[in-house]
Amino acid sequence: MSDIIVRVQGLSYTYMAGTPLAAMGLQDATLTLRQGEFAALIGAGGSGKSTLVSFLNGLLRPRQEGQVVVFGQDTASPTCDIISLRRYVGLVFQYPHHQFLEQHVGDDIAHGPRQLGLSREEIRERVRWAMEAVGLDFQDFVDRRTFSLSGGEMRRVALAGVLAMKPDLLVLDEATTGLDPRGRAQIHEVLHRLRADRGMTILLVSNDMDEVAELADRVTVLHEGKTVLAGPTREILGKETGLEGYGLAPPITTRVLHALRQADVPIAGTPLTRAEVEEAIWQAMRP
Amino acid sequence: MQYAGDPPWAPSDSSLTNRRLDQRLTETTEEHVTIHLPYGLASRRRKVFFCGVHMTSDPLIRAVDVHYTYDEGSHTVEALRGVDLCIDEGDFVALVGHNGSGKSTLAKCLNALLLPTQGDVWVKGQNTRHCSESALLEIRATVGMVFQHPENQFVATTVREEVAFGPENLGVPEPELHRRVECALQDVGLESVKGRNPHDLSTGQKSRLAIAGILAMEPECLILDESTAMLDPIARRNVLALLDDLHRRGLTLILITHSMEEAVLADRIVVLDEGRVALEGSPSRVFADHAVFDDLGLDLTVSAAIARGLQHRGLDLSGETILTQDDLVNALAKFARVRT
Repeated sequence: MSDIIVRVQGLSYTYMAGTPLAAMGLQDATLTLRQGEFAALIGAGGSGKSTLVSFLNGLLRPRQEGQVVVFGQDTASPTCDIISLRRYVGLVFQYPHHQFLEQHVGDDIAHGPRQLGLSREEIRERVRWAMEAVGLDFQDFVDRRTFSLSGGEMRRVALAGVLAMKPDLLVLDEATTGLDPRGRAQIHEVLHRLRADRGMTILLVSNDMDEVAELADRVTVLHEGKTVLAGPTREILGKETGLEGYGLAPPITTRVLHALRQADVPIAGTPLTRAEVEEAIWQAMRP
Repeated sequence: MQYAGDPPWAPSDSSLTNRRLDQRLTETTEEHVTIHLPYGLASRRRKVFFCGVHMTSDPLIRAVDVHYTYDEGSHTVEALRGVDLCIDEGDFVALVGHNGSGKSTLAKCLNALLLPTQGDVWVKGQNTRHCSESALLEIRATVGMVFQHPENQFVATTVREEVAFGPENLGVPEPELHRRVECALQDVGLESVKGRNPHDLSTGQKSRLAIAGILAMEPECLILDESTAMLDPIARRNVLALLDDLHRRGLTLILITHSMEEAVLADRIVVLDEGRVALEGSPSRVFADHAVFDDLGLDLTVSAAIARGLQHRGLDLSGETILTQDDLVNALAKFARVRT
């Protein structure tokens, strides 16, 4: 199918292979992303989520088993153009301060666009746009030093730096962790807008099942380096049981519905998001 | 400050202090009575303080008019602008507020990692501003802090050594050291991995290891600065259960979090906004103040949000306090029963 932009198949990866410190990172991981979808990757700590997303922009390339094809390029191939791949795939990591390359916020966000050979005006415009998109006031923050930012501000700067590249696939590895609710809502809105306006594909790596339930259309579950479940969010997070074995728990909405049904309050359908659950309860209980 | 260095309960002639107390008294007396009564003895003590009379007993931590300003050379950032806060023994306080509201700065002031640029913090009656090197160590052992990325703090090559590091530095001698390490490991459920390298643990285990390292210093208060943010759901559940257990056994907890689901587990929520305490009280009280709550950009819990939505649609849940999943389910089940 032509709308598939990422296809990871049978991917295995061992950290420090061949040394006494060898540690399994992935074992038979599979991931498919379609153009314009909002997907999520979930799994317990150490299940290989961060390792898997590092393959999507060629930070890691298959050396042992498996195949990674991103925007038609096989990243294991010696002819794969990793530089161009990184223009299409933006990765925001969970440790934003590891990602800073410059001392000042403005320079750091401009770092990527500067590699694209854009004009000064275009670069400045992109920096301004990206900062606005993540809710950082341009005047206030452009000359701040990156090391003096609060945790939430660091996250925003890291995200702005990636957005300024205007990637086609945006991968957020726990990128909203540590943001306050307002900041999260702001980022969620930005994501929806980028998707609607630019057809951006988004892969969200998150430990927050409630966030995943609200945002993602499709979910892939990793467990000990292996893809164990993949499907529509409603099917995977809408069930009360089945996730504990993977170190996960269903979102609160699902737990509430389950408990209500246990208490003989009949709720119809398979609502998942807050709004859907509220509507379903209202339909069941309205006067 | 005129009263700097005085014990917190000493009568003070500082007009500033008296004015502040008067102001608080007139503005908030009623609120404090209603908010703090459920906490029993501890709250009664606090009330005495707010009435500006005498202190019968010393709170574990007291912050008075704490300011902190970061100097960045070209400009300054005022992180705290006059925080007053009392933490009593056995309290479980959730500290919430948006990014940059001063939560982490305040936490660092509470265990003397930072000294206020203005105002004072007393830990067990000791002003953090005027204390010897040994008193400072004692304060940091009394009020332990766990950060968001515990692995950045790990120094040892085995779990056991990692837990021993803190008390060893405090000069705890051998048989006692061994006992403390074993106890701490048992408390957090890591006995079985004590020979392993801390960096090989799962994220949930790392988090529990960081807590064990602090517990081995036998603190009276534990501050967790977004320590659960990076955890997967099951690991988070385990850490929260551990905290609940430690609290029941008398440990004072200050939980810094963005998660309202976590904040409602506390006895008291303190909301910081722009470096000041904007709202304080029991979870139900704080959530009940809709206007202020929304203004501060705080999230409701999922269950509270659903309840509020249902209420707006016309479902009468007005008699119920709904914060948690259980609250919501019980209220709706009751509603359904009454109707049939």
